[in-house]
Amino acid sequence: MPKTYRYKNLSFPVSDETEVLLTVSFTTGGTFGHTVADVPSINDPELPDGGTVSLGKGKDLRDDSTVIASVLGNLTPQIDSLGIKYEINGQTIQVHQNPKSEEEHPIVMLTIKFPK
Amino acid sequence: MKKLMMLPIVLLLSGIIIPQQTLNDLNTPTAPAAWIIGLQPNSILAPKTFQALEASLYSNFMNSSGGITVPDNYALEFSPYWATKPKLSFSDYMLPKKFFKDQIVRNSSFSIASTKNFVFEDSTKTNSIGFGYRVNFYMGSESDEAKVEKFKKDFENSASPALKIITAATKMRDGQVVKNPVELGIMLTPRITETMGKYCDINGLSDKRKAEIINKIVLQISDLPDLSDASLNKLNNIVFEQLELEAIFKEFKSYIKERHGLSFDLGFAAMVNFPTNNFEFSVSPHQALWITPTYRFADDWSIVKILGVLRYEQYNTDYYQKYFPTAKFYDNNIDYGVGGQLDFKKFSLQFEIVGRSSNTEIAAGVDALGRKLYTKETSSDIQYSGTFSYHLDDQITLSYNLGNLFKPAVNPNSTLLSMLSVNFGFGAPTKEDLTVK
Repeated sequence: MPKTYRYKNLSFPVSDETEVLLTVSFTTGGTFGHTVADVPSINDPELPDGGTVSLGKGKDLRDDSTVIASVLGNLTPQIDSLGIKYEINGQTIQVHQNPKSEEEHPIVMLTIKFPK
Repeated sequence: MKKLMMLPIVLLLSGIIIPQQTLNDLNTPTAPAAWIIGLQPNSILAPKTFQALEASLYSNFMNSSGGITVPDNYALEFSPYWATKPKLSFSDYMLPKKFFKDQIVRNSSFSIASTKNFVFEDSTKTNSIGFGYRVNFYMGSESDEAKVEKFKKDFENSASPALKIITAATKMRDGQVVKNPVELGIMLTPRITETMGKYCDINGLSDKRKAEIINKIVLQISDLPDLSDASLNKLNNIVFEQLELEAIFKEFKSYIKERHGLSFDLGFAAMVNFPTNNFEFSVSPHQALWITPTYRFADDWSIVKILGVLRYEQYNTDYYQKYFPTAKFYDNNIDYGVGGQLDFKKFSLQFEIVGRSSNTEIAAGVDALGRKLYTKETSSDIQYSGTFSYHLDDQITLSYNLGNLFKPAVNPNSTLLSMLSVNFGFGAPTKEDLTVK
């Protein structure tokens, strides 16, 4: 069963009109993953692989925390670890890495607040 | 009795030097450098495994009186690319964009082997070193590309609904929208119904099956003891299990290791001997160049692999005449053969039969015009052997070879092959390397 790694109480101050961009990249070779962000608005952005997606404007993210979750895989036999990096507007907010021997298909969950 | 006692000691020693994270399957030792100096008896060298570094000890670990000996014969094979912890994408790994360039960079490996027991005809023991290089080309196929694309699609189809459910659950818990697992189950039902509906439609599942999955998830959520992180992590597992993500990973992981289709190994190896055991006096008496095609069958026959070999070996006959005066060596040798391998979970069986055609030109004087005359001497031979390999764990393999060798130049009647070997694999980074910076 996949192990869940939770990173809670993350915070990223942002002004009302600033667009919040989430960038997901993989830090170990051959790692892939799917990411979903549960934002206060109705449409939850998804990233089928690494890349950048808009979470909305700062003012739209105030009421509730945003939960971002990724499930990772790395089937490259020569690589022994899985790694993912989350950036908000170009700033690293969380890096996760674990050896495959610990968990081959980790679920990584971030809970982020976007105060003013 | 002593022999029985030896195995645990070997395993204990290996446990000391091997990193504890065991991830990648290892196989019988096949380093080209070991083969060129005569440590590796198989004629058909299977493609290298996925380990960045392999070390092999060739010995029966026993001396003539039955005591334990430290092996004198070693081989190392190293893949530089994988030691650099490359950051290539999964798609690029599976389907290289630049077919030849990428495969040469990624699949090249270099080997070195050494022995203190290269024995001349007069019984003088000398040191020899082998150097080897090989590269593997996987030819790919449309069915292989389709398999990769199907995996990516299946992964996305399962991961997307699963993540939508688990993010919603965490958000409801954190926002105190729900107070207990029963309320969580009720509040999550619309989200589960929506996401699972899409999942079932994509996968062609019936409405009945859809309802079963939804009910199962909701009931299992309601049965959680509380809303702690541990319980929500359990919820994550419930959702992922129902969406069969684990099975999708498992199936494709097996496929990568046994990717069906055709591949070619190109190899070169050279031997350097130190006749006086002095570093400043060395001779290269033996080189070889070969191609090994390998074909792995698909689906139910995926445990079967067929291998072939076509190899040119060149011997320095001046050297051999000096140090093996009564032995017969040929300048040019062509080996050609086929083999088969059956891979089971804990062990593998390999069989091979290889023919050899040899020739050498011998000076036969001069003609009336003073031109040198030669006669061509030819010979043929055959080698066959079987190898049983047992995978003690993912990174240690014990192999036993039994068979009939090509007639050795010295003692031509000693064709019995009976050898035990241990192969160790070292993955690229260890757990200690993985500290998040």
